[in-house]
Amino acid sequence: MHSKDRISYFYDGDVGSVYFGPNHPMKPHRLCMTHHLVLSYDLHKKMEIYRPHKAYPVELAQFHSEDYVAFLQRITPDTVHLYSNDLARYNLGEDCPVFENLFEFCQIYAGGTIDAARRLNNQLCDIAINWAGGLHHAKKCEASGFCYINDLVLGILELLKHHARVLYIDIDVHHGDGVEEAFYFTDRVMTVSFHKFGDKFFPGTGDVKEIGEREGKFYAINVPLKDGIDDASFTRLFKTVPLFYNVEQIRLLEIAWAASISPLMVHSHADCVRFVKKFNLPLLVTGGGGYTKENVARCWTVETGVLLDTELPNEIPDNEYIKYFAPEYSLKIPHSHINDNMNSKSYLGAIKVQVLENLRYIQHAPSVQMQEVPPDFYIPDFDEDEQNPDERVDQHTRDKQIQRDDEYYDGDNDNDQNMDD
Amino acid sequence: MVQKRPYDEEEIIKISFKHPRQVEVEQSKQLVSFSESVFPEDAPEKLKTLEKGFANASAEGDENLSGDICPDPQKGGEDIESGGPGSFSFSSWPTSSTSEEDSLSEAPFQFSFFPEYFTPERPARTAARCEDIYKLLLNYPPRKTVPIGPDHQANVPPWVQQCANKISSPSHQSEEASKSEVEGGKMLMGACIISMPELASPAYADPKVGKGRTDCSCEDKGSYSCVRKHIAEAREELVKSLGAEKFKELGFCDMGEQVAERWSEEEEQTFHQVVFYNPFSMGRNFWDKLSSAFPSRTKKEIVSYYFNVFMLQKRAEQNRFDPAEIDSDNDEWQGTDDFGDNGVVISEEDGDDMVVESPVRGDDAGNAKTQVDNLLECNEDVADDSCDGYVNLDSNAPKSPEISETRSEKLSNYGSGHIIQPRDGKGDQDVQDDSCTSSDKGAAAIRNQMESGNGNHCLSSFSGLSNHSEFENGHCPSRLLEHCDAKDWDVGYLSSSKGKFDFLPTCNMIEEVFGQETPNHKVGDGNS
Repeated sequence: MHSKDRISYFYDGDVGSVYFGPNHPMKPHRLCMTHHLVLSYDLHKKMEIYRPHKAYPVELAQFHSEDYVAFLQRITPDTVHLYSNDLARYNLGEDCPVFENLFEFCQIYAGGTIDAARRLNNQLCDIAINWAGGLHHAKKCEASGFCYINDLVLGILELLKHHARVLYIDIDVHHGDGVEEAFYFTDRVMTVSFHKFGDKFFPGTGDVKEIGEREGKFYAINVPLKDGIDDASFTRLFKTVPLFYNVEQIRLLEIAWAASISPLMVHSHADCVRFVKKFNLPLLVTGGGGYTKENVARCWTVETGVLLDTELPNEIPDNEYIKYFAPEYSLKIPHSHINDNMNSKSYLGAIKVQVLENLRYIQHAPSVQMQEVPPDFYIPDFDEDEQNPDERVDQHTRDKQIQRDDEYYDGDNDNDQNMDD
Repeated sequence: MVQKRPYDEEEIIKISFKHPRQVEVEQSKQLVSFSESVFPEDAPEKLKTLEKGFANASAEGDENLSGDICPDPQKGGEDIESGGPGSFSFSSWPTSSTSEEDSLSEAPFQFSFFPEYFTPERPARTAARCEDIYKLLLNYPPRKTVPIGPDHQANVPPWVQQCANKISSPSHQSEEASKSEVEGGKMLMGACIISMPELASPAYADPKVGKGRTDCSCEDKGSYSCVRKHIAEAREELVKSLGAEKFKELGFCDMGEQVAERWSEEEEQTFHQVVFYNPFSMGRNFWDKLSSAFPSRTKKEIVSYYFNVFMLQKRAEQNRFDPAEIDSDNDEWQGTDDFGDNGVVISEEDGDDMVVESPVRGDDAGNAKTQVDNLLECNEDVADDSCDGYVNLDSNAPKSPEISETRSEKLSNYGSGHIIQPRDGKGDQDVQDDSCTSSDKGAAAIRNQMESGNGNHCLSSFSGLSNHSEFENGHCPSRLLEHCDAKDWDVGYLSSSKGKFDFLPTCNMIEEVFGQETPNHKVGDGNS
C-alpha cells in the first residue's frame, strides 16, 4: 500500500438544504457544517473532492424493490394525503417523514456511496469518504429510522462486483439492522455492529445471538452494549474482537458511523478509524446517525483528519459556522456529563467470548469460479429527474452544465505513480 | 411500530418491538417463531446444555435470566452441534452476569425453561411452567429477530473469480483498456471538484494542515462585529485557496450568513414574523406558512436561510446569553423577551423545578409586534417535561442521541418569557428564557449601552442578566445583543415604529405583572 493513502471525498451542496421537518432530530445541515469545517482546516489540500452523481432509480433498485423506489420518487408532501395506505406500507410518515426534495436527497447520499465504491473498485483511491451516507436502517421495501434508501447496501453490492468479500463495521449507536438484514444469508459480507442494545432501544435487533443464517451463518457479528460505555472500553472492545486479526481474508472495509454510544466518544471513534486504516485495505467511510449538528461536524472532521494522517489543531478556525461551536470553539466535544457505565467488565467479557466463539466457525474464502467481471453499472440514456423549469436551478445542475467538459477529466491518471502495489 | 425518534422524554428509549414480520414465502421462516425457538428439535444433549444454562441462570438468582441460551432456531441439529455446547453457557452470561436490573432489561429472555417443558423426553411440569412462561412473556416479549425472505435480503451473486488483468494492478497492456473503461464510467463516479493533490507537494506531506484559530487582537474581541470580521476574513482565505469557481462549486456560497444577502430586508422581516407568529406550541407549523409567504422561494432557499442565517443568529444570541447551556439543536431557543405576550404563570414545585404553564398568547399582538424578529419559535409548549428536561438536559439525561435530541426539541420551548428555575446548583446558567422583567435601571443601562453601540458591553450585561435565576430577573430581549452590532441592527425588524427600544413596553409589562426587581439585577454582574 502506498505510504500516503489517496482519499476521495464526496460532497454535494444540495444535501444540506433538505429539511426533515420541525422537531425532527435528523438535520442534514450538519453535512454543510462538516464540509465547511473540513475545508476550513485545509484538508482539501490532501484529498480529492467529488460531487457524486445522483443515483438513478434503477441503481437504487439494485437492492430496493422497484415499487418502493417508484413510490419514493413520486411522493411529495403535497400528495401524502392521497397515499395513506402506501405510506403505512413503506413505513413513511413519522420517523421517516415525506419532505420536499426527499428523493433528490436519497439520490445524492446514495450516489455518493455508490460512486465511492466504484472509485475503490477501479483502484482510483484507497479511501473514499461520503459523510452524507451511512443510512443503515433502510430496508429493502421500506424506510426505517430516518433512512429511506440504504446506500450502504448499494455500495457493498457495488464492491462485491470486484471483491470477494466485504467487511462492514458499524459503530453507530443503533444496530445496523438494514445492512445486516440485507446480507444475512451470505458469507460474502461480514457485518459487524457495535451498538446500544436492550431497554427497547431502537431498532430492537442486534442481540449477540444474531449471527446470520444459512450460508451467512456466523457472518453477522453483533456487539450489544449498554449505556455509558467509555471511550477506552469501547476502543479496547473494538480492537480485540479478533475478527480484525483475520481480516486478511476480507478484501474491503466499509464503515458507517456517527452517533456514538456516548456522545463523548470522539476519541474512541477516531481510534477505531485509525485502527481500521492500519489494515491497509480499501476503505469506504460513511456517516450515519448524529443529531447534534456541531458535534457531528466535530466528530467527522476529526475522523477525516485521522484518515488523512493529519493532526488537527483543537482550535476551530474561523468559518461561517463558527458560532455553532461556542463557547469553546474547539474540536473537543464539550463535556457535560458522564453517565455511569452500565457495561461491567464481566458483561463485556462475556460478549467478547460469545463473539469469539462464533468467529471460530467462520469459513475461509468462498469458492471461486471463472467468469468475467460485470461491467460498471450501465445507465441508459434517459433524463434525470424531471426538472421544474420554474424552479431555481440547483447547484448540481449548474455544475453539470459547467463541468460536462471536465467529466472525462484526466486527473485520475495521476494514479500511475501510485499503482505500485 | 418501532419508532426511532422519540416523541417525548419518557419515550425516548421506549419503543415497542415491531412485531416479528410474518414471512409468507415458503422458504422463509420466522426467526422468532416462539414455538421454533422453544423447540430445539435435536438431541437431549442440547437440552442438557440448555438446562445447564438454565441452571446457571437460576444460580444467579434471577429467574428472568434464561438468557440467550436457545440455540439457533432455524438450523437443524447440525447447526446447533456446530455451535457447540460451550457457547450456550457462555451466551447466558451477558444477561446473567450483570445486575438484576440489567438482566431485566435484556429483552431476550429466551426460553431456557421451555425445552424442559416441551421436549418429549422431559416430563411436563405444566402448571408451574405455564405460569413462568406467561409471566416471562409478559415481561419480556420475544426477542425481535431479523426478518428474512425475498422482501428483505439482497440478491448477492456468488463470487466469481475476476480475470486477473482486471482487478489486479493494471498491467501496461490493460492500462489502456481500464482507462477507457474508467472514463466511460466516469460519469457515474462523481464529478471532480478538487483533484488529487500532488503527493510531493509540501501541503500533502505536512502532517499538520490548517491552522487552528488564534486569538485576535480586536478591541471589541468577541463582539458581533469581531466575529463577523473574522468570518469574512476566513471566507476570503478560502476563496483564495480554492479559487472562486471551486469555492462556488463546493457550495460555499450557500453557507453562512452571507446567504442573507440574497434576501431583502423585507423578506427577512417577514421570515422572522412568520416564524414568530406560528409557533409549534400553538399547533402551527411555520414551515407551511413560510412556503406560502415566499411563493417565489424554493424550499431549499427557505431551509438554507433558516440554517445559515436564522439559526446562526440564534446561536449568536445563545452564545452570549447563556454560554453554558448552548444547544444548537434548540431551534426554538428564545433568547429575547416576549414574555409579555404570554400570560405565563410560573409556579414552583418543590422549590426546585419550575413548571411553566401553557402560555396564553395571541392577543397581545401589539406586544408581539414589538418583539424583535429574532424571536424564533417562541412560545413552545414549555409545559410538562420540557422545562425540566431542558434545565438538566445534560446532567441527567442518558447520552443517547435520541434523548438529547428530544430534549433539544423541548429545549426550545422557551418561548416567550418562560423562565425555568434551575433545578440544581447549575444555577443561573440554566435560565434560558429572557423574559424581560428587568428593572428600569437595568433597561436603562442596557439602553445606554446600546446607544453606545458597544457590543461587548451589551453582551456582558446580558450575561449578567442571564445569571439570574428568578424569573423576575428577566433579561431584556437578547435581540439587543444581536443588534448591538450596527450591521445586525435593523430597525426595520421591529414592526412597531418605536425604533430600537421597542422591547421596552414588554419589559414594562413584565414589570407590571411581576413587579420590579432591582436589588438582584445588576447589569454586568454575573452574580445575582
